[in-house]
Amino acid sequence: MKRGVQWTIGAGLVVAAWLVAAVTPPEDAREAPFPVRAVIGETATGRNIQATITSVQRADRVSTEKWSADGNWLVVHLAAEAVVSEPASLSSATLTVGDRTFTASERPDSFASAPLTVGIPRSGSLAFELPPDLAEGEALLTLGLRSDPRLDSVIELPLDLATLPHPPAIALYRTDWTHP
Amino acid sequence: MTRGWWRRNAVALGVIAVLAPATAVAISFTAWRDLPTEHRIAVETGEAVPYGGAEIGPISARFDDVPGTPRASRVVAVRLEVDPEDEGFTCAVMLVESAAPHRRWGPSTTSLDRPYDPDRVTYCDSEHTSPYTVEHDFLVPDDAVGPFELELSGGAAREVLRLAVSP
Repeated sequence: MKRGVQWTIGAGLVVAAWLVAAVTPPEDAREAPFPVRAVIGETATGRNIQATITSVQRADRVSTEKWSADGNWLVVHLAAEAVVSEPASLSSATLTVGDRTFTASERPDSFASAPLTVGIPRSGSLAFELPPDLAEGEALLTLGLRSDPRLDSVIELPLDLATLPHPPAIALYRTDWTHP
Repeated sequence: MTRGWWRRNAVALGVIAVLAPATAVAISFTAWRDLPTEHRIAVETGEAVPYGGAEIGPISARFDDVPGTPRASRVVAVRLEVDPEDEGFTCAVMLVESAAPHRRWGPSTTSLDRPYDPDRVTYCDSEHTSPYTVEHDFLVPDDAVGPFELELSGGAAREVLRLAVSP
């Protein structure tokens, strides 16, 4: 074999190896959750979770019937139900901003960890308590059935914190059937 | 590779030809054996069967109006006869749609406002040693019309009863 052909084959193999390395999925890809992209006001359906996010707002004060607190809050109003199987609950509700992930606050009575019924929606609110200086940036709201979201559907809603409505105060919805 | 190479390595190649598929079969069998298997026992409406040391069935069900039921939903009220045959019997139940996608509902006894009845048994009560009736409420959407199966587990490891029921 001529020397030129040998060099060509060698270079081709190096390029092929680089391509394979470039397109190889990361180590955790085989266990990654299945994201379902949501749009405000529209129903998003995953394997066993269906959610309709009706609004996302920021506020300096949130309240329930018996509780209120000042802070940098992000409030999500939503309805959700299970699709095929009980028991199910909204065990995972997170907001990711950059490399920081916040879970829905457990301070107020809210939709966090609410049980979900197959085919019958419940409505309520989620409240995320954010650091005082966090007022802008791209964020991702993620809803799922388990705290470990691997290999199951999650509902995802991308947000821009700076453009969200920002009333001074928001009352959280009481968790209840959507159509009582 | 020359014919001489194949001839020199004939024994080794023969061993590989046997061991490679044998290894694949052994690994697959081990993985299959370790799978969590579930033995389902189908029970027709009106029948009773021995299960976990008790006699289970017959079963009946009806659609019921119960206070606290949200719109576009209703309650499947299930009555199941249980004879523990002098031994405590415990179980867990789910209501399963017989047709695809086989939606599954858990008992809704605590989320409904059915008036309290002290004589009503709403779970497999291990304290009972004589025959009794278990009553389960399942809250389902209007589009769940049946038929259903009551899935009952807990009698024995990996054995599940599927009792057919049509409200």
